Amino acid sequence: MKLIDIIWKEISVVKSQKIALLLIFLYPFLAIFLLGSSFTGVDISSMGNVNIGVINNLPYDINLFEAMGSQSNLLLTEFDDVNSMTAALKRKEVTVGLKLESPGENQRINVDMHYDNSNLLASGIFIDFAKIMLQRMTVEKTRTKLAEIISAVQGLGSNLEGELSRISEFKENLVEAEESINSLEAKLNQLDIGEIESALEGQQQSISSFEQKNAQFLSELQTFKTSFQQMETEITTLNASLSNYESQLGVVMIQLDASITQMDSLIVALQAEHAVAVEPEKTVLAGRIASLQGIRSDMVDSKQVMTNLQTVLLELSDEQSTLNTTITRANILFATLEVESGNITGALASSSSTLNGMNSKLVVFKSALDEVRLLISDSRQSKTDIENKLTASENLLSSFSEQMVAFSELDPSVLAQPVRFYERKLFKVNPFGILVANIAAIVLILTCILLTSIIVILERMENVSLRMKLSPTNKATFLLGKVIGQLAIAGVEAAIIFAVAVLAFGVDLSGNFLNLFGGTLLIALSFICIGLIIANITRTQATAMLTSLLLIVPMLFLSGVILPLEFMEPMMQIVSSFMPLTIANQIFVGTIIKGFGFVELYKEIATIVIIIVAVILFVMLKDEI
Amino acid sequence: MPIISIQEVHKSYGKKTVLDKLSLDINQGEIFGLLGSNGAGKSTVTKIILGLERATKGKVVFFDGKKVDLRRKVSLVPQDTAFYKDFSVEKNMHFFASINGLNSKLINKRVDFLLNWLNLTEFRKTKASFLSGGYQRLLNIALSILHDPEIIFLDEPTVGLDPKMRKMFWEKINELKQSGKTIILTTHYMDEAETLCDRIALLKKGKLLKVGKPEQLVKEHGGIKVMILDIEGGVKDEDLTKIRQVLNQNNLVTKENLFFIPFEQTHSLEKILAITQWLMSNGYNIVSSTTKEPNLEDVFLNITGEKMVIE
Repeated sequence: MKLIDIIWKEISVVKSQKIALLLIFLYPFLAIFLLGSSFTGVDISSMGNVNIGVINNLPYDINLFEAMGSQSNLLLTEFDDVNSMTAALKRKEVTVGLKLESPGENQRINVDMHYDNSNLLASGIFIDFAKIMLQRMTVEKTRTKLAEIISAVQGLGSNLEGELSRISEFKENLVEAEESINSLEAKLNQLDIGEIESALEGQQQSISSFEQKNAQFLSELQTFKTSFQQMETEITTLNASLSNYESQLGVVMIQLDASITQMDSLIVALQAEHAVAVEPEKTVLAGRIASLQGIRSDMVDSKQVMTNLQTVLLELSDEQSTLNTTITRANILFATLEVESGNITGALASSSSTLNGMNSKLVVFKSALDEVRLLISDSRQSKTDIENKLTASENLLSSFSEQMVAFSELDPSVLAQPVRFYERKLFKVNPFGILVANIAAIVLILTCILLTSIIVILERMENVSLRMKLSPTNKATFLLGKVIGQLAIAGVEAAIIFAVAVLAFGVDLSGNFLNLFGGTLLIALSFICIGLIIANITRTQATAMLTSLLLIVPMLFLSGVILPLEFMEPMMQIVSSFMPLTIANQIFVGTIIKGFGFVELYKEIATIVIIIVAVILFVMLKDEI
Repeated sequence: MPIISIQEVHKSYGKKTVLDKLSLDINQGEIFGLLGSNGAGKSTVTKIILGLERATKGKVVFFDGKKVDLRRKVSLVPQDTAFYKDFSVEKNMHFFASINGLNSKLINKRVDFLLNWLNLTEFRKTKASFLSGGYQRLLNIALSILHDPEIIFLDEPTVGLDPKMRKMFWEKINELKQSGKTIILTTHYMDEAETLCDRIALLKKGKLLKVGKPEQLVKEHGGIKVMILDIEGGVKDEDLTKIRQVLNQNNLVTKENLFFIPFEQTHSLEKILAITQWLMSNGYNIVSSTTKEPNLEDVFLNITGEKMVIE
């Protein structure tokens, strides 16, 4: 009974606490809603858009989208160089950056995986995801390649059977051809073509040359006979002309003697005249006498020629009688020659009939030769067929061999491991560096919010705030003093964390000390402001602590400190980006790991400054600090 | 000349009126007592005077309307201690002196003076939470008067103190008065008010019922004396009702074993006799009897018609 009362008391006390009721009844819904709507499991397909940066230096085309399969929320962004891609990574525009390189289509793909290693979990998961994606793509490639090899071998296998049957066919054909050739050889052995040919040729040549000479002789004899008869006629004509010529010559000679006598008398007359004549007639007469004396000498010369001619004519008559005798003898010779030629023609005709006999034999021989030719042409055809068939086989084998050569170029180790991954971390930081950023944010939010709210409430409960209100010091001074004091505590806190990080875990903070200092102050200030708000809306330290925890715990999960932001729903990522812990984490990660300055973090800083200003205005307007 | 003049101050929260046209003058150098039950409006009027709350209507004029920095002239010693329990006495004093605008030289001087004056010197370095209740109250006073204010509000300064300590407090308050401070005291200890206060204001439900010197109020409103009988086992409730009916005495009151019989200065013996006879005849054993003279508490009772309700 006592125990039941105690139990009931416990429940009643809890019931009487408003904050406890909130915690019990509202908070589960709130937490489930917040976390549930933020994280739908580490399922890439239900996250927001995951952008993958790619530098594709492959010397051939690949379809990366195909490789991504059904992941419709994956986006690919192509980059030209590593610098622009890492810049995008730093701006969080892409989640993972891949640089694909390969010496050739069948060579291994080397993948540089650039990733933001500023958080412990997300980068690993996205890297693994990208690996799986690429491996899936390349395994597909390997599979295709192996299928090609197998189908080539299978194709060759089925073709080889056909080839083998064809080869045995060729063998039969070749045996047949050999037999034909053997019989042909036998037939040819029976023939002595050379003897026949030479005999026939000699015979034919002598006959034809003899025939030619005989015909030539006959024609020449005929021509000679004709010319001879022509000459006989001309001689007869010439005989008549000569007699005529002789008689005429006698007449002319008589006349010429008379003319010379006349001429002498004329010249004597003229000389007489000349002797008496005066000048000028004397000179003319002298000229005439000289020309007449010239003519008379010519006439005397002509009479001498004629006399000679008469002598020649006499000689010609003697010659003619000799010629007539010769002609008679020639006519007898011609008759004899014609008889001889007839005999020769008869002999030639007999030779020709012999040749005809030989010719008929040659026709037989020719037909045999035709047969041989046919056989040869058949053999040629067979040879061509076989050649074609062999060429086809050759082509088949050579194409297979080419394929085999191509396949032999494939590196089995490439087929087995087509992709090799090289992780390229974006930031030079060890895991402790990441933890330091996250832990600094968590520790600061806890200490700043709790300390500020608890101390404000403590002052209120111990009535110190009443004294402050009654003092001449104004509220702004108290607020400033409080904030600076809390900042100093936060500063010491942060200094301890960073000192441990540097001294114990070797985290390098040297490069960005000023940014880190400024960032820490801003973050602490924002948390202090949240502490002030909580102190203003709660009455007791207990409720303040509870409220702080109610506020901080969901933020731990939604700020990316513990669970990566990338796993959250896009809407919740936006909501999260306004949470002070998110901003704090971003600033710490930015300054410690990424080496960012205020320029790169302007969004976070602007948000935080707005929060700070709003809270300070709110607190200043309230009665209490 | 009033140092504080409360003029027709009205304060209401929504429909609930807390102060109803309260007008009151507090003179320089006096100890002024504000008396009243819970909800009478003491703390509201205090807050309005201190500027912690605003009056709905009316106004409070200080120093005859002279322009002064009230925060430097007026101070409150709250009923509950108001200091950092984890700071040492000295550290607390330094801090509050500083926020009250004292320079460091003056701070040291005042701290030394007040530690000495309030017998706290030996606790200088002691953490405030380690002080006994009485000394914590002293420190509380010290912290309120570091800046040497002219008007000091004391809110129930001696609640829970042992008599010795209480006496010391009274001495110190009187010393403050002697040094020219004006002190406004809220208390529900009537003896304290009667002993310390030069004048007293009686408040009820936001209204000022009476204001005046304690002895004058006692004289005017103290009224009756009271015989107090100590009765073994106390008077049963039904018997009290019977006595009231039979003897027609409605103002009879019991508290534990005590039985209070108020009576006038005249014609009182018959009444006392009748009551004692009735009690004895009904089997009550009267162990002892005393007579109480009227005091401020009676004034309060008479004027407000109710006993002082202690918070």
